[in-house]
Amino acid sequence: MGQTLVYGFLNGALYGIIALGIALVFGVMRYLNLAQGSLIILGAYGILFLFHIGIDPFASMPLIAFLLFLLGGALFKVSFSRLIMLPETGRIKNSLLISFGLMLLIDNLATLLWTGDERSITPTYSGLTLGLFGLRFPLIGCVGVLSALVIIVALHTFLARTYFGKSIMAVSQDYEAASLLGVNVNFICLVSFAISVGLASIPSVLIGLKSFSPTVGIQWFNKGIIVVMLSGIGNINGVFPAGLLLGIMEAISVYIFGAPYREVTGLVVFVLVMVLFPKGLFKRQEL
Amino acid sequence: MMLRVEHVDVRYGDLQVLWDVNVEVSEGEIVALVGSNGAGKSTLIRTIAGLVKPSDGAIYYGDTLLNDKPPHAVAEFGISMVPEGRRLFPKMTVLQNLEMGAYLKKARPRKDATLAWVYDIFPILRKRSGQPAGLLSGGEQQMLAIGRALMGLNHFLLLDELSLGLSPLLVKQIFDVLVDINRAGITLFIVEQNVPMTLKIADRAYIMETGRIVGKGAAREHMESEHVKEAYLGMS
Repeated sequence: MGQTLVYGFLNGALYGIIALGIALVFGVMRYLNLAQGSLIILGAYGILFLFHIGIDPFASMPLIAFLLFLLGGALFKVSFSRLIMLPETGRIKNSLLISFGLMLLIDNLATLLWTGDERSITPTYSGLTLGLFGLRFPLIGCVGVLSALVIIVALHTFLARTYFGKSIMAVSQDYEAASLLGVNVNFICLVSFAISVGLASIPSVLIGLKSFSPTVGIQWFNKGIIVVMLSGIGNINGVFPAGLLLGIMEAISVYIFGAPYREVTGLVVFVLVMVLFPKGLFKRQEL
Repeated sequence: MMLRVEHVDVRYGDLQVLWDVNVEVSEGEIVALVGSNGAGKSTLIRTIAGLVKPSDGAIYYGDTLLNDKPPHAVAEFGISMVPEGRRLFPKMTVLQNLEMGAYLKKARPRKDATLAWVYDIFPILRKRSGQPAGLLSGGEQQMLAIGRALMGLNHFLLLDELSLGLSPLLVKQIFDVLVDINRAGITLFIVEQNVPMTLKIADRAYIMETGRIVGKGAAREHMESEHVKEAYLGMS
């Protein structure tokens, strides 16, 4: 049981960090980026490529983060920037359409470039575990949790302390009022989108060290979007605990009902929360 | 002339809402734009702020043509706006809202001094500084909206329907403050449905009906005019 919870916890941290990128874009712009999972997988291929020429996956993460950041900026400029003018529902629908197309494009491009075979990045330390309280903690999972925590604290500090971060929050609450105060809304949205795609680099490494193929992106996106809904839309701080919750629930269900029902658990939790707490579990009272 | 609106037409798709509008505001003035609901007043003020693009005509601030400038650029050129419905950031505290007001590059270094000034104008905001803006009362929210606009240190302020939803006593308080703000050297362009109150503090006024300017002149003259008395002041 204890060991199951450990795995659940580590998986949950991964879900949380996937959801972070989705939540940022959805919170600020009301864009739903279906392609986030595929971008994560694209990052994993990048890390695999660098691994083959001798660079450690964790060492290449900053470079991949930077490249994904640039790619995110370019994608926003080319395909998403016009939607800003639309009302909220228009932005959700159109961003879904665009990102669905983008997802197909990335997935098929990846199949073309790297075939549909399942890949895995396997550095020498990939199987190592730490023993603690009689439980086994996979080293990679622990590093994943740590890096997720560091990124979340860094992102929170950035949003709460810097003028740039505050203007991101302002745009998410009322973009027209923000523009009247001198905030360049288009630029803020561009950078937020680029950051969210850049954030994909962390799950890129963690998933890359498990296993991946060109079409699994949408499955990871599903986990992410469930977590975003659990946390409550626009609530970036609740994303990590919501991710842990989903991971642990899945682990418990595996323990009780067996592994085949794991995927169902998340969806059942999702439906229950939507029915009982439609604003999400960690959302403060709407003002 | 600080602000010049020349022959401006505005369309929403096929629907034309402003027709050949001409408005001028000089430095130091309080100019009012009055008219009934749906006359196009808010559209004009939103067009000046860059939120709506004119389909014809020109808007100059000083020598700068504002027609194609986005709202954030208009703010950088020196025009701030208190939008209709206050449009605060509800989940941010009062202080954070005011800090966002000082977003403009020229305002940031002087943020603390400006904040003290705004707190002097609206002492209640200092008491509420740690509260989320969404929890303030309507009057406090309107004060915060004005305070936030003042934080940008611009010399020209557009005010859209300040009195909406406020008690007469609060409206009077806020309009008294507007006079003080004007004396501090800030030019005001006020759009209002509350005509008697507005004409009391304004130097000059324009009257708008169905998208056209139908009257202009000193505020005092308007108060005497039979048409205004009948249509807006409830006298006959």
